[in-house]
Amino acid sequence: MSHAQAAGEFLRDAPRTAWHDKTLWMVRARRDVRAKAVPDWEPLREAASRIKEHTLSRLSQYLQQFEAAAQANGVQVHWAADADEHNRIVLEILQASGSRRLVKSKSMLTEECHLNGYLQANGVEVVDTDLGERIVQLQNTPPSHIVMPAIHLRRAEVGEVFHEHLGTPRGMDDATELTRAARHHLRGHFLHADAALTGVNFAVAENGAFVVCTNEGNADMGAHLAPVHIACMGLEKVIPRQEHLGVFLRLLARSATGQPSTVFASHFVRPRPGQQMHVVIVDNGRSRQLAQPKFRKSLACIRCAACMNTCPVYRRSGGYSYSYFIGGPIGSVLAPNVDKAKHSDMPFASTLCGSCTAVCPVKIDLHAQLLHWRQEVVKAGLSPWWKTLAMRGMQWVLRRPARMQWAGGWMRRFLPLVNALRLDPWTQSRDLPSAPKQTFRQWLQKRKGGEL
Amino acid sequence: MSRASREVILGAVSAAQPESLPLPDLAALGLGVGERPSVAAAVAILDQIGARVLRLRDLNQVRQWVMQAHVEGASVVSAVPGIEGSVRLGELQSPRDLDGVELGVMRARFGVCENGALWLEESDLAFCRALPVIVQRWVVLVGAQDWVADMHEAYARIGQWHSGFGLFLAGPSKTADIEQCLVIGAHGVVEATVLIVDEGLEPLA
Repeated sequence: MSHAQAAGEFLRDAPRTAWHDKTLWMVRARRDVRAKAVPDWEPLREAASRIKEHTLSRLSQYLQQFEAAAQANGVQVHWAADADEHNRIVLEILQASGSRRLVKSKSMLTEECHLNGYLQANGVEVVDTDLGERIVQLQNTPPSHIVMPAIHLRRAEVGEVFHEHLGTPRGMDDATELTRAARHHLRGHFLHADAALTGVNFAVAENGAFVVCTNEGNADMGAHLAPVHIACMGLEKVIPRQEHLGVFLRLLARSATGQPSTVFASHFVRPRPGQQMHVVIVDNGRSRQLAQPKFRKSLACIRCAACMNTCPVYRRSGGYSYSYFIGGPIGSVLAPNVDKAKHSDMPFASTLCGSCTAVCPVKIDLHAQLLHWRQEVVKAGLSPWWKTLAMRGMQWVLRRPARMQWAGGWMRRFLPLVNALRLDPWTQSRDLPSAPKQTFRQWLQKRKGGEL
Repeated sequence: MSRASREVILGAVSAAQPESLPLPDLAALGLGVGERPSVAAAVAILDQIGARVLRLRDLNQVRQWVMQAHVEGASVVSAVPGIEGSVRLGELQSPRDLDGVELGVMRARFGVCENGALWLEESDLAFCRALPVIVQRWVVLVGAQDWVADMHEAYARIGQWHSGFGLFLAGPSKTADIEQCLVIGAHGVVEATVLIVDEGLEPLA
């Protein structure tokens, strides 16, 4: 299904779409208020951007430095070239430690690798512990947003899910009551987990520490109680120095939700006595993206989702309209690197308005990259036939002034027909404006009273 | 676990990475310009993020405050020397045993004015890392003088540290995952109190 078709499905429920749009815009507005309260916001973005660019230019060195420092701290470091290897490594760690019950905090990387299904097929009980992720896990659906996984659901729907799976009374639709029910249910899982898996927001090369940010405290609950902690990170998560955390932590929560900071920013250095701590460093296409100068900067992303919240297309089409598990502008520049054919229409799900670029805390040129991906998609012959045909026709017309002149006059007369036929998706919900009585050329000739 | 993947990944990254770019000079970029946030700003933010703030004179007042909570029937666990709890951390078999304990008492090394976050290392948690998240309520002491303006100063103050774990803790745990309705008390505490103590706190090791 194309993005436009999937968005059409989402748009069927008009009140939900309006709510989705308004709510994400509210998050964007909160971000604005918070950012404006920081006098050095722009220098901060510049610093973040340059630290990331520097890091990417010496990534192999920083990865090795991080590995050595983490190992010296007693952390076991693993390398996974792709999703399959990542999943195998996690399973091996669990099996070697005799772990059957795993609690997970939010990790987009494990979504990318489809870890949950793999572990479940191998007999591991996997419980997502972020509230939004738990809701969508119980529904057996993926998250629709990387920071707010259940943003597409209304509270009554959450009440239904909890009624079915957690045994709460039917019709419960109070957010506090529902959250308390989830707290109670998940605490049981925390207390009995054999292992905890977390993501990594930042990995510090100079001292081997890694930082995990949450509001709910679920990463801490998992990691501090279970005998085994596995932290999974994409290889772009490394930063050179501890002092750089100051830059990124000032930007992350303000950009993501408009909070001054997350409630927890936990710095893991060494396992606690008797605990095993593992870090899995994953490539899965990232080194390929690094090799492409036009798209390299996308690896600077800190997954705040500000680009999604501000995107007029994302807000109105929902996370499930995109063919990749990360939607919105950043998803649309990451996805074609993973599978250009499968995600060929994602870079087109944008108005190129540039709002994403304007809010990005690490200054990724998102709208420019979207345009570059469109060119790559067309070059690879992955454009739909009707678009190729239309472009060829346009090329033929624009190549000669005479053809252009003829086509201009012709178009004026046939505009009403275009509006009536509605062959193009654009005209299905909009009319082209009515054409003037004369062409520009005719008007100019009349004014000057002679030849051009 | 293949050694080979490590070499393959590092090889691919080395081949892909562009020519080396310099590390930016953070001071030259103008970070930390403008008005410096004060403790008053931190108090306002703590209020916004759902934490209660009290200013107390000394450790005696803190003791009385904790005693009051205990008298009201709460089980108390304390990681602060000189403040007794009803549950002793040293006697726990596992951090899981803290489930159900009502109040946790800790002391932060310092607070950050720009976001209300408090820095604690595992020695400040009596090496029970789960303490700030597993109890129902926490109270964190912080010296009135122990505040830094922003996160840059915070990391400068942390410098080289030797703990196995540390965290910035900013208010009670929360979630807005259901319809963006803010709910205080997700998996961590449902209530948080910051006690700013004027005098009498020992310097931290």
